[in-house]
Amino acid sequence: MPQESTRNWSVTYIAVIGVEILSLLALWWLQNHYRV
Amino acid sequence: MHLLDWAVVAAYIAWLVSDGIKRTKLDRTTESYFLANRSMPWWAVGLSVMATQLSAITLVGTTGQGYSDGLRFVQFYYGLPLAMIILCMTLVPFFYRAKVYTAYEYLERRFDLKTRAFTSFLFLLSRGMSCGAIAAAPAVVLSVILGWSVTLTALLILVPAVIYTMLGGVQAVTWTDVKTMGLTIVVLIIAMVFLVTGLPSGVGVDDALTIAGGTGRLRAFNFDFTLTETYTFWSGMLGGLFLMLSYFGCDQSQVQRYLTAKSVDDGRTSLLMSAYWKIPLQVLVLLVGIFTFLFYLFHQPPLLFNPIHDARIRSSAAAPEYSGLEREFETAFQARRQAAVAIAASRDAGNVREQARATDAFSEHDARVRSVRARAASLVKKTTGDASYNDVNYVFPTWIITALPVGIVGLWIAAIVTAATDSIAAELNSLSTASVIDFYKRLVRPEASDEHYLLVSKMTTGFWGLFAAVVAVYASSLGSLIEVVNRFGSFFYGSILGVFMLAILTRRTTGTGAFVGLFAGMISVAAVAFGRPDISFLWHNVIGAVVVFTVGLTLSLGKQSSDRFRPAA
Repeated sequence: MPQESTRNWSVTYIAVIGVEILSLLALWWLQNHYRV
Repeated sequence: MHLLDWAVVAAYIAWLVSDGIKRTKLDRTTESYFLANRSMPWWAVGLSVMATQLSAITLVGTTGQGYSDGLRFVQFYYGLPLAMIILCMTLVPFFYRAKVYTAYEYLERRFDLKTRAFTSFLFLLSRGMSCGAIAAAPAVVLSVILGWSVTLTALLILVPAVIYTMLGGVQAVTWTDVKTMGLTIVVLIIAMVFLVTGLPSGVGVDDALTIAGGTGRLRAFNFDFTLTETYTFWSGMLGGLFLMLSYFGCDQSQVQRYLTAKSVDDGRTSLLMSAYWKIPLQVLVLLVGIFTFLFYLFHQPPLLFNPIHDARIRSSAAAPEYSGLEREFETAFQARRQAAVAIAASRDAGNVREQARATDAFSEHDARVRSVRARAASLVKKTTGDASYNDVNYVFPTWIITALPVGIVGLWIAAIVTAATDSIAAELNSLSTASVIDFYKRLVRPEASDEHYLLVSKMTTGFWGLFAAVVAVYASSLGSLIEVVNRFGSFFYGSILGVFMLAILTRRTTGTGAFVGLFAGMISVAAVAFGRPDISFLWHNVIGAVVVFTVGLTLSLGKQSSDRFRPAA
């Protein structure tokens, strides 16, 4: 069982941040598109 | 509830328990009982992490929050993805290298025994009590809606958890989490389909969302920087970040989930699953609540969603006043319904002026509906003496049993019951681990055989199950005590995070520095909580962590840097 990491995680962390930004943008759109 | 629904609930719970018992054969050592020999696939661990966090309170209470407040609550999770990344970079590799069973075990390697024992004790105290509360809260709601006894409902939630956790250990916990997480997502999607198709003809999803937007329910961002508002962008990003760091990094009920993963990389991947999916999942739960609100715009709901309180008021001296409120409610509801239909019609016709007029009318009648409901709730409090009554918790369960077809109702009730069962199982498992590893093996009998520890672990799981059952059964009479313990829990949550921050971010901090810092953090949070009760609890975690870190570091100034900073590979 490898106890040390065998891959580069930087890209994954950037992807996580990217997905969060997309989620927040979708919520921002929902909030403003349907604001009366 | 229909017989078929009962059969669905019984069959699902029986499946979980029998599958859990089958895993007894796999548990021959304490490492397999507590950590599944560190062999679980990342996706199962990831689902288990999510299922542990998602309890019945999420399914009942959060849909209720969506119904009354809309998306506002999602801001609570904005700090979660960043917290997961920080944990993946810091604590997760530390725990794997140190090969620990509990998060607190690591604190002894870095600091000393007293820091480990005290943090583990705080965990046992708060989680032991919360285990009972996790069963009692949905039991109260389900017993009212389904007409069951509260004690029986609480036991229906608890007993399966105790049986499969005691016998099957962490493997049973993880695999039941996987099943229930799958069921939860399925029933949420089914609910969404029924809610959308339940909209009247002429009112599309777009129209419905416009109406919801008009009531402010689609507001997912509040950029006001205020310490008193619980859910804002900033409290979620900063307060939520500290809370999630503490929950996923320092709480054994979560740490133990990812310690079962095959490798440090699998542990990281399982945590990041929540980072990707938690916000979308929470939006789905809240949208189900919002669409329940929209459903009840067009289908007349009862004035009170709690049928027991409804019946009690009807047979009390307040009955005439209640009938008057019902008539007022009926009139306001019909006027609001017409305004909602007019919004959709004018919107579809592209008549902006008419839409604005209908929107104003809607707001006016909606305010009347809310006012009548508020007066009915006050009547409940006056008549029944139930000062903490919150009708919102009964909205979604009422919709489930009145609007869904036979069979699907059973699936939903099974999902709610086992969401609670799952969270309790994870907690029992972690309570047993902390009791045995941090106390029994460390302080009482350090030299016993592994068989002995395995037997004690199973007995300890049973003990904590019994403890949770007592708390759950006497939850109503223990109400204020549970509140005190929960409040006490919030005092040290951020503070424990501060101790872990000292452990991994500093070299000089001594055990005594960390220990005194922990007390300073807890006292500071208690002072803020009692002195300024208007400050949102999300900020308590930030205060606790910062005070512990500062005090711990200051007290350790001038000391030699620790050679125990990094656990050996």
